[in-house]
Amino acid sequence: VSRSPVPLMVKASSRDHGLRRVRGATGWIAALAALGGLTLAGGYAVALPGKPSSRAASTTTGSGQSAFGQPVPPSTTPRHATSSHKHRAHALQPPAQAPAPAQAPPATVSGAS
Amino acid sequence: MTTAPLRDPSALGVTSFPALGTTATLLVTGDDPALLALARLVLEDELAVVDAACSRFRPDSELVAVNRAAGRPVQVSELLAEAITTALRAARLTDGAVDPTVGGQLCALGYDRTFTELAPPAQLPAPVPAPGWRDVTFDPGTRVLCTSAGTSLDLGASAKALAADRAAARCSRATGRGVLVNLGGDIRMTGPPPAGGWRVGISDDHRRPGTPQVTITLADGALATSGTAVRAWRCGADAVHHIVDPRTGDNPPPGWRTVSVTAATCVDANTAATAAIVLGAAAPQWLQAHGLPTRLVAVDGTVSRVAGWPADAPSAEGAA
Repeated sequence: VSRSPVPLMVKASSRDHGLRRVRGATGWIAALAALGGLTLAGGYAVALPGKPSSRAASTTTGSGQSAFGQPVPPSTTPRHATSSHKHRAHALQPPAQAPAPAQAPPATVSGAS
Repeated sequence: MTTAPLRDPSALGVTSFPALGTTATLLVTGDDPALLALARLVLEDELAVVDAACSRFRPDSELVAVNRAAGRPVQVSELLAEAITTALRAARLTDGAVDPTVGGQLCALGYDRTFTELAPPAQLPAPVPAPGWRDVTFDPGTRVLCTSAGTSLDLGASAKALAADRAAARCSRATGRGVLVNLGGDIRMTGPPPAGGWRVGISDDHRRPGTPQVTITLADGALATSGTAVRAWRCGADAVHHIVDPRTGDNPPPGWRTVSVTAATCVDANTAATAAIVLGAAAPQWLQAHGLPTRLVAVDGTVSRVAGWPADAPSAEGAA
C-alpha cells in the first residue's frame, strides 16, 4: 500500500507542536515549584527558634518575652543582637514600666551627687 | 548561678561604701549575707576597673593619658572604648547638650581635681565653648581615638551610669538575685525585684534623704537624678556648679534644680537628666517626645512631671 508523504508531514508537525506544549508546561511547573519552595523556606526561616522575625525582635524587651511569648528569665532573654543594638543606638530607651507612687519608706535614694 | 528560693520576697540585703567620689549602695533581694558579700565584691571590682579607665582625677588613669595625647591617635582599652562610645552616643542623641569634650571647660571653672579637693579660681575666666563631640574621631573596631589638640574628655557622668549598668548585670549574674546598684543617685535594677518593687526616694541630694522627697516604686530599668544643688561651689562672687552647657562653656541659665528620669538603662536615664538641665525650658517637651517619665523641680521648687511620672504621694522620711 502506497502512502502519500503529505499525511506523514502533518503527523510530524502535530507531534512537534505537542512536544513544544509539553516543554512549555514543564517549564511553568518547574518555575512554580521553585517559587513555592522559596516561599516555604522563607516562612520556616522566620518561624524557627533563634531566627525571630523583625517584628518579634523589635518587641523583645528586658521583661523577658521570647519570640513565641514564653516568659524567660531576664538574664537569658534572647536579644536580637543586631536589631536591638541598632535600636538602642538610635534613641534613648524608656523603661518597660513607668514608676508608681509609694507610701512606704524608700530602700534607697536618688538625688544629685 | 542557681540560688535557693527567697524565704521572704520583700527582704533586702543592703551595703554602702564610698566610691567614684560619691556613695555606692548595693541592694540584693533576700536575706543571704553570703550573696550580699559576693555581690559587693563584684561591685567593688567593677568600680575599680571603671575608675582606673575613666577617672579624670587619677594621674594614673587611662583617660588622663589619653587627654595628654590629645592631637595624636591612640588605641584605648576595651572598657574605655565602651565608655567613649557611650559618651559619643549620648552627645549624638542629645544633639550635643551632653558632650564629653567639656573637660577643659570644667577645669576652667576650677573642677580639675576631686570635688573634696576643689581649689576654684578667685575669678571666673570668660567661658569658651567646648571643642564639640563631632571633632572626636573614634573607631570602635580598632579602638583608635583621636581628639583635637587641647581637647580634654570628661566621661564623669556617663561613665558612672555605665558602671551602674555593668555592675548591676554582673552582680545579678553572680548571685542569681534581683540587684539594685546606686552610684550617687544613678540607679540600675536588674533581675527579679522584691515584692512590691524597688522603693526609691527622690531628693535634691542623694546624701540627705530627709530633704523634701517623694517615693516611687520601680520594677526594673533605671533612674538617674541630675541637679545643680550638689557639686556647687563659688568662684569669688559667682556661684558655680558641675553641669556645663557645651555650646557656651558656662553653666546653663538657672532653670531646673533637680531632674529625675527613668529609662531602660542608667546611661539613658543619666543622659536625659543631664540634658534636661542644659536644655532648660525646652526639656519637658524633649523628654515627652522621648517617652521618658521624668520629674523636674524648678529652682523655685515648682514640680513638673512628664511622660507618665506619677503625682507625688507623701512618704515616710529616710531610707531603710
